[in-house]
Amino acid sequence: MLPKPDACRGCPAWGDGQGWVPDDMKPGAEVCVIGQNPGGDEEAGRRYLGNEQYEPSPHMPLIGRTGRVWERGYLPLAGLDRSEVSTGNIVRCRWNHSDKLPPLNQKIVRQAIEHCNRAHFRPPASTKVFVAMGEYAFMGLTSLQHDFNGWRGYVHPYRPLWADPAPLPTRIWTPGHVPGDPLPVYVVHHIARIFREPEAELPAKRDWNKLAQLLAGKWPEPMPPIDPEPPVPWPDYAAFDTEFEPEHPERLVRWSLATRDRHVWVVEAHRGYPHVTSGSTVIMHNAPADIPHLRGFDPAVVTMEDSMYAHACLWSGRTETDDQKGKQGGASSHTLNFLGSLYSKINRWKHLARIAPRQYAGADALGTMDAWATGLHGGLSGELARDPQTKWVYENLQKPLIPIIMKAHQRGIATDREAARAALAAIKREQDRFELRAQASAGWALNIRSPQHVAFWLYTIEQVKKARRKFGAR
Amino acid sequence: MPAKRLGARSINKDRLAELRDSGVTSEVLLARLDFMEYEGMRKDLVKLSKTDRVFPEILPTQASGRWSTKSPNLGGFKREFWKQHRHIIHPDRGEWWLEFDWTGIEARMFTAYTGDWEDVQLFQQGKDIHTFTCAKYLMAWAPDLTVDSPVVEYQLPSGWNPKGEERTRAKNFRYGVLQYGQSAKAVLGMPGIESLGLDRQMLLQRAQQFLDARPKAQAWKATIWEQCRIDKETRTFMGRRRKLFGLPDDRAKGGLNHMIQGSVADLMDWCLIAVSREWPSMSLILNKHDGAILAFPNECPVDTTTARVKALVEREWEIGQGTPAMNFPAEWETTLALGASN
Repeated sequence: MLPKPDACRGCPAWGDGQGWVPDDMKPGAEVCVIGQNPGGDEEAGRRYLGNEQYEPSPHMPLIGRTGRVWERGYLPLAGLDRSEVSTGNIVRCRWNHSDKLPPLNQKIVRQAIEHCNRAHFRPPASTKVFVAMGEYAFMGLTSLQHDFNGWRGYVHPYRPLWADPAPLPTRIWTPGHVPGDPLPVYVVHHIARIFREPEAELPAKRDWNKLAQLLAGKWPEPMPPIDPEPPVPWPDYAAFDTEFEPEHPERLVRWSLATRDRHVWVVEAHRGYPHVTSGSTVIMHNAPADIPHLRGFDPAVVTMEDSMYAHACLWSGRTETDDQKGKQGGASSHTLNFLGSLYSKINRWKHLARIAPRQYAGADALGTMDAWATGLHGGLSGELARDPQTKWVYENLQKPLIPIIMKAHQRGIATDREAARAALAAIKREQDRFELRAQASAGWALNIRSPQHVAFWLYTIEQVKKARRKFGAR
Repeated sequence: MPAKRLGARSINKDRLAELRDSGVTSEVLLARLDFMEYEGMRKDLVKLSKTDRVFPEILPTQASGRWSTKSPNLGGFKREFWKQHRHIIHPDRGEWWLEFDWTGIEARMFTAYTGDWEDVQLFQQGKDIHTFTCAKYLMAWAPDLTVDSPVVEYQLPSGWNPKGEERTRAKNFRYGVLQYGQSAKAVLGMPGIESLGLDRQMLLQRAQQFLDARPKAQAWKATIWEQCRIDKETRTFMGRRRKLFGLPDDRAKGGLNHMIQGSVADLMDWCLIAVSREWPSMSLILNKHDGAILAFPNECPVDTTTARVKALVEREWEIGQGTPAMNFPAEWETTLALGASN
């Protein structure tokens, strides 16, 4: 292990002063990849060669198992090899020689990141892009503690935690579009996350693939200007989106439209309602929410496509929906923000709902168009064309559900309040019974509703542990 | 952070279920799990008790094509509870509801893919497959039973309860050993199997006999697992794909689940689309895991409409390669609007 330099003194991660892993900055490199913190191999100064084989190595980031997977499976997708990129960690030692850092919301982590980077972070002047691998690097390079999953696959302005915070852009940010723009921080999954959440592999691979386009200046494209007047005539092929009052979905606020040639309209509802013409194609993301506002819509004469339903056919694995907000892990999702991170030609817009609602609305339509047809990898329509079986499922089993679901939601279900109250009372009786059962077993007035009470009983008193189930075990 | 990284002292529902399945029998843990199961229903019922109409949000975008319903999640109500309190929702005037609930659809789907003679025959003859499994294999009261044997030959103990311990264990035995288990040893890991009073050797022997009588299922599972491990992808018989990630064994398990559960989701989608095409005035009320409630206007006669919908929902499908066609029977129930008469 390397001893920590004097500059580390005073850092909350100082520990025993051992286990320092310096960055590997390469003069002339345009990409600077920042990970979380070193692992055991980096700390010990040994490179993992696969099959439990190692060789001695200078202490540097990303030479352990994670580094090997990254170097062989992900970095080449960006057309790069290790000699072309600088590598570093946002914290340059192992916290108490363990693989776990304290949670992001702890002040001590923030202090360690600030101390470590003030003392040691020296990216080469040639750096054009920072790649933040994982939540800790994301927080260090952008000063944002939340919404890592939302920013994954997009670029955020470089706003280091250890410097005075620069104001956040109030527009869809395109790096280099305005003179004096900060460097971009490209946000990607930490490779270690893929080990424990395998669904993250798909977005991670797409992200590294997209890095090549970022370096070539091909992605992200700037957001086109917004046309405030309703389109005349209605375009033949366009993505459509609506904004309505959350509590009153029937009250339209504004609507947006985007065509393949990137003409974007955002029209306030008081200036006119959307009126689709027969023979046109309309692309939506979750059509049942938008169609009720689209006048003249008749599935017999208007072709409809839905990016969310198509994505659900192509990627029918474990996913997260809008309301789950990270509870499923967030590695895969059918949300437009997620689709935008894979396909969209513009940078992230979903954080602008309140700050720049018209840009947000326009980008929803443009992002939907990119996700469907004009975006990276040929969009979802390109993916469906490459997989005829899935296209059949989308056309015959998924898309025809849209009018059924829309009708079900709109008509609603009549309820019987008295019957619901009776059922509620029955549930309460059952729950009381469960509580009595727990109290009888515990021998004290345990509150079964209280997470603290239950956790105390299970983990402190009973000391329950997961066991490998054995036949006959109690 | 991903939900998988639950803290050591977490009382998250998944964590507690994991502890329970590993053999922890703490009464407090079990009571908390039961309590939480009712908590979601309670929250939805609070909403239902304050309104005359709900507008659930429905998305057919869950894993393997399954549906989710929220605000309120009526599809998530426990089956037994739902049976007792189903009248918390009711048809509007001028319409009637038709509810179907496929019986044992996962086991049927598995048999439709695999085609073992004994299981196909049991299903086609409408026998209670779990009672048969119990009598012939798990408890071996009548080891020489054939599919044609009448129930009196099952040697069922007096006071036999179809919802009792033995049949429930036999059902789990079928799923745990045949459908998802890697070998006869899977029987030893089944929670509560000790309660049957059989020793380890006897259980292993009976599980092996059960598997040996189903060679096609064994071969089919091995093929699917291998495909999932190598191709990292699987598809239902209708073609719905699922990309598989992670370790080879996780891919194998996820792939087989997708084939069964995804196929059920496909059948549900197909049925709803077919019914809505034939009756454009039909409305979907609720989609539950293995069934749905459909609303028809009174202009659609109850008897003829039910018969035709039944024919669509229970129709035969050729699912496996070279396996016999299987149909998927359901339980049916009609609900008329308040004050209406049949």
